[in-house]
Amino acid sequence: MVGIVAFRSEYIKKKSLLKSLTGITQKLCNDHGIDMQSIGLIVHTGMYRQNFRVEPAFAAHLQQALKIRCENIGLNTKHVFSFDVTDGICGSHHALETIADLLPEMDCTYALFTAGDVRPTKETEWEHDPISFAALLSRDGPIELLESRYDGEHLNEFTSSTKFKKKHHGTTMTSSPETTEHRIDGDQFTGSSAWLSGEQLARFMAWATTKNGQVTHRIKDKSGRMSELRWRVTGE
Amino acid sequence: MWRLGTEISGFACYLPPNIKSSEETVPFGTLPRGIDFKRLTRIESHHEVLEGQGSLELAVEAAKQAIERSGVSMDDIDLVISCSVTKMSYEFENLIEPCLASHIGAALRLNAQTFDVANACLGMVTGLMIADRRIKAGKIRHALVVSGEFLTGALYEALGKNLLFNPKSIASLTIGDAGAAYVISSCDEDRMEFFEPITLAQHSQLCIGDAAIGRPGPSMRTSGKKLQHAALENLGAYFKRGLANQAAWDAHDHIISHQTTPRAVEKGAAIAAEIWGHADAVRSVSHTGNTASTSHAAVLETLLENGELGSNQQVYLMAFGSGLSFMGVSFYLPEGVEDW
Repeated sequence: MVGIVAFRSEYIKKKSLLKSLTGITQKLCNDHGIDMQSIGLIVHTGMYRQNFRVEPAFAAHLQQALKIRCENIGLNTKHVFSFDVTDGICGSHHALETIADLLPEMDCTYALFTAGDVRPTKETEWEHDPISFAALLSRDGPIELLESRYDGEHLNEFTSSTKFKKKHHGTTMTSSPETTEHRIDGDQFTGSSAWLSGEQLARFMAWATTKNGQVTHRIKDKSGRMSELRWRVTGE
Repeated sequence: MWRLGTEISGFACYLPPNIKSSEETVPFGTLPRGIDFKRLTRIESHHEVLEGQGSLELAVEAAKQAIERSGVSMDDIDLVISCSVTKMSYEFENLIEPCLASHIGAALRLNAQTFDVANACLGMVTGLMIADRRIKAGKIRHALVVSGEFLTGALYEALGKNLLFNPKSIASLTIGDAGAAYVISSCDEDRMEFFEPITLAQHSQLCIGDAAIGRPGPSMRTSGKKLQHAALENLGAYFKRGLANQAAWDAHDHIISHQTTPRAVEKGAAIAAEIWGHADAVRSVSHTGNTASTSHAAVLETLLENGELGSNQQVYLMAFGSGLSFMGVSFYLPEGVEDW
């Protein structure tokens, strides 16, 4: 099992996504006395990157900006592995589960999970005010990830894409998106389908850390698919 | 029943039957200073999508064949991971949401968890490692790791540039389109071994893929020499860390590196030969170009067509991706592969 040791978020506003995530990760490590060089796995999730960048992984740029183990391979050197996991607003759940699967086998103490989006170009239609989110996970973090559940049975026709034109990259939707409002039912927190990944995690964690016991984060995306992560929160 | 091992039970590569020779695509005089593209890279040709094909269609073609070869029922596939660098339709519609894996799953009528991995040309090996861990944790039985690389939009974007003043576009001339898929399954013995995944992020700016500026479609900007130097400079140390001894190297029947160009593979083979005394098992193809995350499968498919693959042969995939990421994986070919 793995769990979240510490997390931090902020509205990105006019900053670049990279600058925002670099800043909050550095503060996170400083505030909790964590040596950044003990991070061995970085997984990022998000939907929108600068100019619709597809390679390399955003996590690699973040690793470079944070200067974590950026040295050539030697026989005894320690390294980081960085990549992105994406699935619209559900990407954060797959990314966290992936960390839970990989971290126990890796030669490091911490994994860094980040989520965030940025308006790709000035011409891109954009209605978001994204939040960047960073969390450090370890094998014994106090906010323990217990299990995951996915349901794609109700997948509808909704698809969002961007036509790569000369300049104006307009968004195309194949059908109306399914909308889900934010609500809390007992120990279950359902995120709004309008929230991007960073906001999903920031709002859920802010709520979850006021609880003691098991809580569930549910995301139902615009295509009708549902994902859930169940956590055990140990109160202060 | 919880079985502790994993194996590759099926794989396939789909190369669209639209072949373009290097002479046709990059004729002499295209590269500055009289450099001959084919002599420089040793790429003979590449494949391009047919009308109407994009990343999804390439991925689905490969997935169908890989699943059929694996003998795994569609109902038993619990996870689909799409690892494409590109998620683009024939009309340059770039997919935002949901993930490409969900579209692939829907096209194949799979009831499975779906998500995408983005790790450049290392994507499929990253996807295989994630699937391997989930199977070994007892969460899933079989996973489809799939990719559809519709890349040649970036090739034609590069051809529209003055390459003397835009040298970072030259590497885009080496690319080709392909789909690839692996089915990874639980089994009683462990038939796969993953070597340490590493990202040397000090090189993360050396290859950038994004939307083209001033024309429709994607573009790629690569500091080709620096990227190749960084990869080759670290390859020897990577091999030494991962492979325990000479016997571990000698045991492999086929060693398949990421196919940037046949020329680059030769350089990597020379480094391996310095360490291990020979590079006899290193394989390369010249008819596909660089098909990004699908390139290892393109070599496997070619070896299969040539009758060079046999049951239980040992294969080592050496993957590189911009980032700069490294990962090796060793596995045994499935029983009966020669009959596929």
